Amino acid sequence: MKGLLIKDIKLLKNQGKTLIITLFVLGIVWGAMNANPLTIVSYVTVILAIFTVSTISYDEYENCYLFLFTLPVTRKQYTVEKYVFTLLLVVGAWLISMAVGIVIWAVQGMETSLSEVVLGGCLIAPIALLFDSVLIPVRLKFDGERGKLVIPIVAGGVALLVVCIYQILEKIPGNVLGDLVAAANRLGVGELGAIFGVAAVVALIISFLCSMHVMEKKEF
Amino acid sequence: MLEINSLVKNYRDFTLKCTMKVERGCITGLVGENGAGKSTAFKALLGLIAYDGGEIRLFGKSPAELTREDREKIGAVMTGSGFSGYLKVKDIVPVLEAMYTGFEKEKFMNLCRKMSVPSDKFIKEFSSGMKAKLKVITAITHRADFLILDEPTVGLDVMSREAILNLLREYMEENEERAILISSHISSDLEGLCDDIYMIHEGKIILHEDTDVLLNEYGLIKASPEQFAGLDRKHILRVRRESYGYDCLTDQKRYYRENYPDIVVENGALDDVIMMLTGGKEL
Repeated sequence: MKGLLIKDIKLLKNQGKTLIITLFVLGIVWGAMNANPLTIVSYVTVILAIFTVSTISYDEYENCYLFLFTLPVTRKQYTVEKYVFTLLLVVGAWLISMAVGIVIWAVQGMETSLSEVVLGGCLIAPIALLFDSVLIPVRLKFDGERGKLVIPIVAGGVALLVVCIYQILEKIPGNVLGDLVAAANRLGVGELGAIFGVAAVVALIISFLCSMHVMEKKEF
Repeated sequence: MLEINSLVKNYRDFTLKCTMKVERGCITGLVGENGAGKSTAFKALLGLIAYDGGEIRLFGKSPAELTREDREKIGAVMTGSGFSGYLKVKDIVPVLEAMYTGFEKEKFMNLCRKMSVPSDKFIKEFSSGMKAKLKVITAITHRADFLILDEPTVGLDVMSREAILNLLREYMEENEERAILISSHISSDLEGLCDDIYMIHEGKIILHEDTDVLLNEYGLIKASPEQFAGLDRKHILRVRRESYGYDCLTDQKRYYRENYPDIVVENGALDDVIMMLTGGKEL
C-alpha cells in the first residue's frame, strides 16, 4: 500500500501543484476582501476531496489499471489505499485551510469568536468525507467515459432526493420539518460537528464495503 | 512454473480454450494474430479476469491464491498498459522501491540511461518505443523469477527490439531457475529467443512445438499440380492452393528433400507455419 500512496502523492505533486497554488492565492485574495474564513476552509477542503476521485481517473488513463494489478498489489490494498489517501488529503487540506482561515480571522479582527470559526470549520471535514464516500465507489464502479457521466448524474440525483424529502416533510401534518430545524438550532455547533463526524465515519465504512465489492468483481 | 489446463473464458462473441505449460529455465512463446486470445490468456493467469472453467497453477497456486510475495516474483508487461502517463520515471522509482523488496534501483536507472528513457519527462509524452522500453526495464529489475510479457517489443525499431531481446537473454543467464512467457506478433523475435512456441488461433492452441523442431523439421513444399499428385501425403499437415500449384506444410522436410529432389522444399519459418496452419486445409 505504501507504493500506491507514494504514487498518488506524486500524482498530487505533479497534477495538483497548480490547483494548490491557485487555492491559496484565492485564500489570500478572499482574506483581503474580508470574506468569511469558513468559505476558504470549505472551498479548499472540498476541492482537494475531489482530487482523490481524480486519482482514480489517472489510474484509468491509457488502461494503466491493468498494469497496476500486475504489481504486488491486491484489490483490497488498492481500495484501502484510496480511503487512506482520502483521509490524509481531506484532513491535511482541512488543517492547512483552517490555519489560513484563523490567520485571516485574526488579521480581519472579525466579530465572530474564534471558537465559532473553529467549531464551524469542524463541520466541513466530515461533509467533504461524506462527499467522497459517495463518489469513490461510484467512480470505481463506472470507469472511463461512463464515470465522467455518472458523477454529475449522482450529484443531480442527490440534490433531487434532498428536494423530494423536503417536499414530503413539508406536506406531513404536524410541521415535522419545523421541529427538525428547531431541534438542530437547539444543538450547538460542537454537537452538530459530532453528528456529522459519526455520519462521515459510518458513511466511509459503508462506502469502503461497497468499493471492496466493486473491486472484487472488476475485470481488467 | 506455470500450468494452464483446459482454461475456458467466454465472452459474448469469443471463447478462449487454452492448455499450456511453462517450465523453469525455459522461454516459451505464444504467437497468434490480433484477437486470437493471447492477452486474454495473460490476463487470466495474472488474475485480472475471472475464468469460466479449467485450472491455472502459477508457482503451484491459482491466481486468486497468489500473495503479495508471490506477485513480487512476477515481472509483467501488458500491451497497451503501463504506469500512469501523469508520472515521470523519477516518480516511479520510489513507488517500485516500496513495492519490491528486491528492486535494483541502480540497474533500473542505468538501463533507463542506456536505453534513452528520460527520467524527468511525463510518461504520456514518451514515444511508444520509450514506453515499451520502460515497461521491460521495470519487469526485469526486481529479481523476478517469472516474466509474463505480452507484446513487449511492440512499437520498437529493429535496434531497440534487439536490445530488449538481449536484456531478456541476460535475464535468463543470471539464473537458470527463471522462466519467461512471451507473446509477439513479430515471429522473428520469438524464433531467435524461445525454447518452445505455442500457436493460438481463434481462442484455441493449434500447435505446440520446440523452436528447434519448428525451424529444423518443418518445411514448405512448393509443388506443381503434377508433383502434388505424386506426393506421399503421410507427413503433410496442411495444403493451400496457389497460382503455381500447391503449398504443403510438412513436419518432415528431410523426408521430402531426400525422396523428391525435384520438388522445392523451403525451410519452415514461423510465419509460414502460422499462415499454413490458419489458412491451409487439412488433407
